[in-house]
Amino acid sequence: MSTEDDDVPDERLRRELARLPRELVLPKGLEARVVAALRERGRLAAARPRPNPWRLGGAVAAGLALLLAGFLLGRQGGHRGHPPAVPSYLLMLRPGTDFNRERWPEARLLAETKAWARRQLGARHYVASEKLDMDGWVVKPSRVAGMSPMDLQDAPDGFFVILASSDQEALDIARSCPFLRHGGRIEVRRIHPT
Amino acid sequence: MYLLVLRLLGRSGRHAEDVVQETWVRAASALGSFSWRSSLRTWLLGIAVNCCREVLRSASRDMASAGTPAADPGSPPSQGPERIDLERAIRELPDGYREVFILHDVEGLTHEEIGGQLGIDAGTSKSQLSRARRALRAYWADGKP
Repeated sequence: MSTEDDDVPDERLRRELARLPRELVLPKGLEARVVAALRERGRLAAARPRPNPWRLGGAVAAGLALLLAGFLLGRQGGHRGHPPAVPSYLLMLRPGTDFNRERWPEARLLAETKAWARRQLGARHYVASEKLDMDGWVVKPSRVAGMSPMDLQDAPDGFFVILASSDQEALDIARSCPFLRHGGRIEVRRIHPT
Repeated sequence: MYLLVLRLLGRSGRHAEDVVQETWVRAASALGSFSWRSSLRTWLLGIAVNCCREVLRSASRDMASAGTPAADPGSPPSQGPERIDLERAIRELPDGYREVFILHDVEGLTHEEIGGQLGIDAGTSKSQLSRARRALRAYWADGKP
């Protein structure tokens, strides 16, 4: 039977818990051993059919073209009031490992994020956004592989392109995004016009 | 994950590397069925917990067939209370208490999440945690869980 005292750790336990190491240096070779085991069982390189590089290249090019088109349309449409020198930023939404989709269902997250994006559009910050599929590939010079659980741990969930008058304003906009309340984190990067 | 596995295995810590490897292999195999109903971390943690349980079950079978509780060469011997730290005290907890204590107090899972991972009620998780904390207090007091 649980007593009231047992519901919270006592002072000594709290102290000891705070001193408990959160990380440990991995034994030498463990990572290589795990990678080898995944490869051996066909879970790293052959997780899914090898995509046609031309098709993949085409998809990437089409994606970039769409992004550029969206960006240009956005500039011509809702953002005519901004001078062309207004810097743009990429907000990468990374759920990480603490993101809890059980507590925050997809529909709710989407609704909150859309409402936030509409507010950014109203304030002439919004340029473009897309949700990314969690399935994907990692392209290396020597091979193309499916995404491993390690790759997925920090994979972005989606992105926004915004306009902001300064770095500080971009950070403030990112801070107001509901994605953070769901346990995710947002990477803010300046976009250099090319 | 390695540290979590090491803690969950307690006295069977020498199997930690095998468990980490097996966890990743199982996670990669089951990735297609992961539906984001929990966080990726909680999902991975659940797989690790199951792998640890299998090792612990097998270790207890081995001990039963040997007739004596064999000392694990991978774990340090028990020491007097003045030398006992939390890691060592956790290692001495019974398996059920240790799992719940680590998942709740160390990893920060809720009782509902722990219940889902271990296949027990949230109420059972609460009482196991309560007993684990009591056992730790007793351990600090006289060096025995």
